Amino acid sequence: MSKTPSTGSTHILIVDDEPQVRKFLRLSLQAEGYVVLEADTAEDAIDIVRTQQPDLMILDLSLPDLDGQQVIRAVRLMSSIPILVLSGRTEDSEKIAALEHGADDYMAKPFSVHDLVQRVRAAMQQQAIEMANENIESIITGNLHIHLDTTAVTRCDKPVTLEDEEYALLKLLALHGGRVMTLGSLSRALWGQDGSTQLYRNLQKRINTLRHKLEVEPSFPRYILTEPAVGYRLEMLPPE
Amino acid sequence: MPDRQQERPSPEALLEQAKREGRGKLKIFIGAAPGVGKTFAMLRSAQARKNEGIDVVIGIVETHQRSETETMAQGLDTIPRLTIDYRGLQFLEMDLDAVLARKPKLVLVDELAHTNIPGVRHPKRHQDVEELLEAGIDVYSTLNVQHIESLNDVVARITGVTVRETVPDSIMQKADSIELIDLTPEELLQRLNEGKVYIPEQARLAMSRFFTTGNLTALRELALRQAAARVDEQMVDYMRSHAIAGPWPAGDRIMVCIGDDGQATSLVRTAKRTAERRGVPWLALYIETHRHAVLSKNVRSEITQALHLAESLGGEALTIANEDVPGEVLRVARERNVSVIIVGRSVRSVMSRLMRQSLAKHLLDLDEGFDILVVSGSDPKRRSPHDHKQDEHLFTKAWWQSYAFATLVVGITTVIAWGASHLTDLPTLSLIYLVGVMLVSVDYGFKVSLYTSILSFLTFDFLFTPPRYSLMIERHEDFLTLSFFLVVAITAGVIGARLQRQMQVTRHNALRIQALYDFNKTIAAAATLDNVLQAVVHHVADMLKSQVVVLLPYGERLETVATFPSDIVLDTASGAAMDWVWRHGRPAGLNSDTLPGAPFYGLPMLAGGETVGVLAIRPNEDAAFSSDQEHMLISIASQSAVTIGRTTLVADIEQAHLQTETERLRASLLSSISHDLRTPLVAILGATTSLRDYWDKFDDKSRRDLFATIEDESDRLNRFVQNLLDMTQLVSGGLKLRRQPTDIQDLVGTALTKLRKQIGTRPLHIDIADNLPPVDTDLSILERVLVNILDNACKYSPPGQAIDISARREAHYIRITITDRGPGIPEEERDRVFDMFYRVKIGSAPTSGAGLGLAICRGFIEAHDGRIQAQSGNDGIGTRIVVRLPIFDDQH
Repeated sequence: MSKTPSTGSTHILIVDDEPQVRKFLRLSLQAEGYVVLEADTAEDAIDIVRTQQPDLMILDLSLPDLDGQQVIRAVRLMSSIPILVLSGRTEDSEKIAALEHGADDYMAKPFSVHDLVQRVRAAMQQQAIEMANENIESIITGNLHIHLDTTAVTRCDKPVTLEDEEYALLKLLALHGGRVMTLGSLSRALWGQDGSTQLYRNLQKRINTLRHKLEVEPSFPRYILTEPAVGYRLEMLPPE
Repeated sequence: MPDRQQERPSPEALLEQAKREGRGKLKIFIGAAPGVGKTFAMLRSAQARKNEGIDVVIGIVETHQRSETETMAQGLDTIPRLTIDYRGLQFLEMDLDAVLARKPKLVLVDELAHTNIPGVRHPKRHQDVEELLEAGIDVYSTLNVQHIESLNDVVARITGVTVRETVPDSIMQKADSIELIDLTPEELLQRLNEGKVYIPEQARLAMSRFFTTGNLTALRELALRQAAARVDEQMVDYMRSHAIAGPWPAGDRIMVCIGDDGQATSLVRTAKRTAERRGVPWLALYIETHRHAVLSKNVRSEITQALHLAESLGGEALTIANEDVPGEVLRVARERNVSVIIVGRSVRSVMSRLMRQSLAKHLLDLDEGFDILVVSGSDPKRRSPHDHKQDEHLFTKAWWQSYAFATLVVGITTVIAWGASHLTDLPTLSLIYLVGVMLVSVDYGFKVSLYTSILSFLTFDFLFTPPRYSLMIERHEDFLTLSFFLVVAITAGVIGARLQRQMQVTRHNALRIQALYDFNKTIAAAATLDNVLQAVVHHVADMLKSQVVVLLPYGERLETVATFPSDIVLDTASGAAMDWVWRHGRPAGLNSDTLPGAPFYGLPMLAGGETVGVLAIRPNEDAAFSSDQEHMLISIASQSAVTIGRTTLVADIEQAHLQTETERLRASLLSSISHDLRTPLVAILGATTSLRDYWDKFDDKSRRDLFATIEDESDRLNRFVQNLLDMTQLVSGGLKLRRQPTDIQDLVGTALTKLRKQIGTRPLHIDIADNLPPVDTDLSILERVLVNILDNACKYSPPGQAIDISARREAHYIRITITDRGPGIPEEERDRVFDMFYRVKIGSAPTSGAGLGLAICRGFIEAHDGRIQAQSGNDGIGTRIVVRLPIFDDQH
């Protein structure tokens, strides 16, 4: 297995007060070729972000000293590094709050390392794209091809006709490839406002038609996945 | 030995003994007459006890300033007496509450037969003593033999002096020991002459007649006999409780029949003595005929009193309504195993003897093998003529109306007879008059019918028999006609009147039975305690035209729980009386033995020997209740008590049931947790340790297998924990739904995505109708429901068998079905699969899992106002779970 050459210098900060969790994350991420930093309190975490400037932070929301949400806000004041949130809390509002405060993705505990590494990769890729500030021409997941330059979308190399809003929605999800986008942020990006049931309903309708156009079985989607009560994500699958 | 069986201690005897335990002991110093030295003897005994170190106090002792008695009282603590103002005079009575508060081991209470001044708790001192005994305090008391209730009239006959102050015989039976203070009549008379006997000034004359050698000898004999009988009873008690076979005849009873002839009380006493001598139980019977209604208030209350007396003398009192007195007497006698029937020798007028045979003669004639004991009533109280007058008033409110009616009837028959007189002869005309007499007699009773007969006779004679317009009778045959007419008319009147009376009694009985029946029906239908209580107060108030209150105990207090009319508040005196009723399980208040001054009469509501509550009644008229009403009240009180007991029992059972259910859930949960947490842990621990120890010996495939096990089992554990959390939320009511319009396709998709691994390559037939309206749900909750159902479908159907998912609109619902091709759920279990901890059995073993999944599904679906049910799949194959969810309404 060939590894992405850039991972060697990528520093990932793991913030969790459970040594067992830190241990398997450390071992797995090191195996993937990342350099791992660890913190077990919010204070340490903020300190490390300030002094060692890691490239990505994996943050557990329940910490002994400060609430994870506050850590996200503090970090966002000095850095734009991807933040991947982990939490055992099942409250949907926690996830939404974390994402709205500036976290990039969310994973509920327990999770598989495989999924986590996928998300880390997606976040790093996104970060690289944003850092490079280059124009992305196309995004590919599975047999879907989204041509950002021409606004054309193909499935199995056959063109798919999308309405403007449908395309805009797909583009938003694609640009956040693999990461969840909250209903609020999608709504704001599309219509400049959020919060109403009607907007939520409109969003659902667009997702529904997109699935009908893009998925083999719209009721068992592969690409556009729902995070109940939080939002949607475009699953990044290897090109077919 | 089979005989030993019957020689076990009789339960009644043991109960009686047990009842006595914890009670204070009563010792009575009994004497034949005042002056024999009872008080002195009592004080001497008390001193002896005090020297033994026992706490002795004097509750009340009259020394009558006799020096030797006063000396004997020295050194004993005396409870200060209570001063009572009564009609401007001051009386000193024993301070019962002070004695109870002081709680000595032994208290001396002189003169057991004393009557208290109104204002004291109990009218009689022996009731005070009873309360002291109940409080566990030993009592010494004194009594003269003539004060014993059942000897009262014997003494009156011997001495010619009626003693008003009496004590019930039951107190003699309750006495644990009796000491007879004996003095020969000569010695007593000598003491009297020496002035050693205190006699109140006003009684001096009576007493001087009382203290004769003859009287004293007779009284002494009575006292001796009483003491001896008491000793005998104690021996019998002892023999019974120790199962010593004795000579008492079983099932042998004495029954006394009382009537309205004024002998009732005396008959009851006779019966008591006879029964006592024979050592058998006894009962007093009153047969209530139509006559009861026409008796004066005094006579009726005399009968009630006689029945009460029977009860207080340890007999049983029975009232039965029936017109056939001898028949009923014999029926009861047979039913109750009576061997001796005591009846009074009727003292009747010649006329009434002619008309009605005496009961004694009747019974003797019937000769059913009973011993009939005819007793001459001693000094039967003659009823005053005034009583009779009152009777008539009571019977017919406006008596003159019936006579006016009778006159009118005679007038009309006369007109008819006049019209017919030209067509027919005299005997036929007399028949017209006879019709009139019959008419009146059936409706108005004997007296009015007699009046009608005579009036008809005279009119007939005057108008129709020649010579007309004269009372003279010319012809012999007319004389015969008229004579026969009079005889027939009077006979018809008697028969008609009897018929009328019987009808009255029947109606009266029917009303009473109807009232009880109605009451029973009402309270049987009453579901809650409150319904029952309301039914009781309404019914009693309606029946007795009175104010009614029901009180129930709450902890140590008695509280008013229902009243009629609704705004009644019990006054303090009545409150105290009801409290007494509750604590003692006996009636008190208005016109009773205890706190008779209270405006309310209180009756204990007894169920199974326990006082469940108190029924308080205040009659609107100031009258005492008739025996009839009292019996009704007792019936109602006990019926209500049973029902109240039943309703509280139902509540208790429900509570207990709830507790058992909770316990069962807790137990199931614990066993489920231990099972469902452990099973995956066993697999995980086993797999990891195997991998650690045999890493080198495993091939690649085995290692991957074990890792897969660890992953799967961890998932299972995670799902189980999630289920427990969900269940906790549902049970605690902490579930908060954030309902949003939700696309069915999105919902199904989310659930399927979660189960991608479990589904694998299994074919899915998804059939979701186009353009379905959104459902009104919390997506993250509903997702868990569908995951549970789909997971079951995967688990319980063979791999490779398709799962069908469909969604259709059905009125205001979306109907989602998930169908597998597994073994299916037996029809009888389909409702139960949604119960907590219920597991379907496949073969003989229950399936694995906690039995929580579907219970949670139902909880969640029902929280969404939806429905979930289990069916069989197409052609009866597999399981189909049907979920109905409400459509999102845009208007909201």
